[in-house]
Amino acid sequence: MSKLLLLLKVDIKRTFSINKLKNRKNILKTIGIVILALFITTSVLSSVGMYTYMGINFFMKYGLEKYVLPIIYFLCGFAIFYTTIYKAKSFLFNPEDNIFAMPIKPSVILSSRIIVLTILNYFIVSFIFIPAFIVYGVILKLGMLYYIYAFLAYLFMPFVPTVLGCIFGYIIGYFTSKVNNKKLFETILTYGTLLFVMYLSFNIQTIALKFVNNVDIINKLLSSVGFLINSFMALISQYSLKDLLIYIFTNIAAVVLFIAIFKNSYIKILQNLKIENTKKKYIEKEHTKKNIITTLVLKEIKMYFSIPIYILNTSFGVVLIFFASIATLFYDKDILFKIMEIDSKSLPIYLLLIPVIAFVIAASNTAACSISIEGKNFWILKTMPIESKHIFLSKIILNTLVVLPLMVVSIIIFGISLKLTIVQTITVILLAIITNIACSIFGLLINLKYPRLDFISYTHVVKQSFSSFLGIMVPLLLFFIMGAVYTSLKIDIDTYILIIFALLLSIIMLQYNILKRWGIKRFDEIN
Amino acid sequence: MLKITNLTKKYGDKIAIDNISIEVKSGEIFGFIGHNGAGKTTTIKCIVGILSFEDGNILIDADSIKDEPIKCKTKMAYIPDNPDIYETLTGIEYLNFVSDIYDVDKNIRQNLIDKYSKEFEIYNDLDNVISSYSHGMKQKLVVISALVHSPKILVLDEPFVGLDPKAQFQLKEIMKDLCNDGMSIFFSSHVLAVVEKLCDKIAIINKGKIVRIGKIEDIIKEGSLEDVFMATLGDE
Repeated sequence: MSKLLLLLKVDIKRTFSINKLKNRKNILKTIGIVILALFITTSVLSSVGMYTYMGINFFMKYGLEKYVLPIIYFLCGFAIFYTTIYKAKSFLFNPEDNIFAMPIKPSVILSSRIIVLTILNYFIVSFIFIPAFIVYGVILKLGMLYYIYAFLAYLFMPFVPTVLGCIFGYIIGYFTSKVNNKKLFETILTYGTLLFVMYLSFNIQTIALKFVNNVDIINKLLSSVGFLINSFMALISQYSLKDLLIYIFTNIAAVVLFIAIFKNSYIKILQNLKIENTKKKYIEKEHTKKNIITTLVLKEIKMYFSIPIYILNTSFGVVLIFFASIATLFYDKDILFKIMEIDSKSLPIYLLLIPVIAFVIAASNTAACSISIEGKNFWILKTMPIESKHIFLSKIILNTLVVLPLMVVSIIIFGISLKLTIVQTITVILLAIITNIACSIFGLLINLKYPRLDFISYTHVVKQSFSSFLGIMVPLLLFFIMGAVYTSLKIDIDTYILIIFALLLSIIMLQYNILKRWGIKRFDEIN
Repeated sequence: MLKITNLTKKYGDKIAIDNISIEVKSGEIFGFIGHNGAGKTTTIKCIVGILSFEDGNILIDADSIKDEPIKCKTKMAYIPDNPDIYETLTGIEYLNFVSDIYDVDKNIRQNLIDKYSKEFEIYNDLDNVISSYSHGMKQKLVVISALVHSPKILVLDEPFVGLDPKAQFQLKEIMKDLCNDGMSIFFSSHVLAVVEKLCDKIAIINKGKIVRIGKIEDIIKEGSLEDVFMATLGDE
C-alpha cells in the first residue's frame, strides 16, 4: 500500500508537472496562465451549458428530455474513452519506463497508472458533466435528491470508459507493433475514427430525429446492451437506490477486474509492444548530394510523418476542408455552413470561405511546436554548421507543405463548385498563402519563446504545450477581431480585403524582423 | 587547434565554469577528468556551441566560437555522452543527413561510411530505423557520423560509455590514427586507465576550476593517474 501511495505521488507530480508549477519564478507568467485557464474553463463550461439547454429544449418538444443526460453521459464516456487510448499508449503501455526495474509489483504500477489516468479524466467529466447536470436540474426544477444522485454518478463516471480506453489503447499498440509501417497504420486508424466522429457530428440533427422516431427500439437497445447507461438513467430519473448501487459496483468492478486480469500479463504485454521490426541486410544505394535547405526540409518531413499525433493535430483541418470541397461538388454548399455552424442565409459564400480558410490555416500550425519537437535531439542542430535562419526556413517550409498544396486544391474546387470568379479564387489563394506565412512565423516565434524540449511523449508537446496553444489561439483571435471589425464597420468587401492584405503583409514584415534579430539570439540561448 | 582562454560560465548566480584556460595542439589527445558535476560537460557544451558563456573565449583553429560559430562548427565534431539521435530515421539516412550538412563529397562519404560502419559492425543494420538500435549501436552511429566529415577537432563527452569492449578498442585505435594524421581530440572520461594510456595532456577540473593541468608523463611521475586524481581532489 505504501508503495502504491509513493508511486501515485510521483506519477501525479510527473503528470501534472507540479514541481515546475511550484518553482515558477515569473509571477506575471503565472498570472497569465491562471487568467488563460480561467478563460478556457469559463468558455467550455458555458458552451456545454448552452448546448445542454438547446438539447433539452429540442427533446422537450417530443417529451423525451429524460434522454438528454444519458446522451451527455454517452458523449462524455466516448470523450474519455477516445483520449484515454492516446494517454494509455504513452503512460500505461510505455515499455521504456524505468519503473519496471524497481522492486514494485506490476499490479501496483498498473493500479497507480490507472488511478492517475482516472484523475486526468475527471477534468473531462467535470467540464462536460457538471454544467450539463446543473442546467438540466435548473430547467426541470429538480430537488436536492437529484443533485446528490447526480454527484454520485459524476464520482464514478470515468471508471468504465477509462478501462475500455486502456484496453483499446493496448489493442492498437499490439497491432501497431505487428505491422511494418507502424506510424502509417496508427495515423490511418486515428484518421478513420476522427472522420467517423466528424460524420456523426455533422449529421447530429438527422441522428437526433431518427432517435426521436425510433425511441422504442432505442429503449430496448439501452436495456439490453447499454446496461450501464440504463442503470444511470434509472438512478438519475427514478432515484433508485438499487440502480445506484449497481452503477457504483459496475464501475468499481471494471477497474478491479482490469487490474486483476492484466497484472500478471502486464510485463509480457509491454515486452510484446517493444518488438521492433528489422529489415534484412543493408544494400548499398547511390546517394545524391543535397544542399542544406533541402536536407533540413527532408529531415523535417521525415520527422513529421513519423509522429502520428503531429500529423493528426496539424493536418486534420486541411484534410477536412479538402473533403468539404469535394462534398460541395456533389452535394450543396451547406456543407460549409455546417462546418461553421452558422445560418447559411446570413452571409455570401465568398465572404464565408475566407474565415474558414483562415481558421483552418491557424489551426494547422506545425511551426508552433517545431522547435520543441526536436526534444533530446536538439543538440544535433546546435552543434552542426547550420545558420539559424536555415533551420527556421526549413520549419516554415514544412508548415507550408503540410497546409498549402491541399488548401490551394481545395480553394480551386470551391471556386468551381461555388461558382466563384477567377479573381475571387485567386484572391482567396493569395490570402491563404500570406495567412500561412504569417501563422508559420508566429508559430515559430512563440515556440522559440516557450520551447519544451524535456517532454515525455509527443502528445505533451504537440497537443498540450503552451506554445501550441498560443500558436493557434492568437491568430484565431486576430481573425475573429478582423471579422468583427468588418461586420461592425460594414466596409466595402474589396476595400476590406485590401486592408487585410496590407495588415497581414505588415505582420509578416514585423515578425520577420523579430525573427531575424530576437529569434536567432533566442535560438542560441535554448539548450 | 583548440584554445580556451579564461572561460567563465554561470547558471544564474552559480558559477559552473570559473576562469579556465586550456590549449590543445594539432595531433594531441587531451583528457578532461573530474567528479560528476565538476563542469566537464558544461565546458564541452561551451566548446561545441550548445551553451553560450559570459567571459573568456574559445578559439577553434584561430576562429572564435562566439564570433564565427558556423566556421568553427564546420571544423569540429561532437560526440555527446548520450546518443540521442533522430530515432525515426534509418542509420544510413542519418549518416547522409550529417554528410549533406557538412557538404561531404559523394565518394568520400561512401568510403568513410563503408569503412567505419564495417569496423564498428553496424554496416548490415544501416537500413534499419535508429529506434530499433541498442544503446551501443546508437553510440557507434554517432561516432561514425562524427568521423564521416573528417573534422579537424573531435570533442567527445564520455565516448566509451555504452560501447562493447571491441568497439572501445577500435575507437581508441581510431583516435590514435586520427591524431597521427593531425586531428586534435578533446574528451572527458571517468575511465582513468584509458585517459592515462591514450592522452598526451590532461586537465583535472573540480567545482568549475582547473586544479591540475599538464603533460601526462609529467603528471604520472607522482604515481598512477588514479592516485594523482585522488590526491589532487583530496587536497581541494
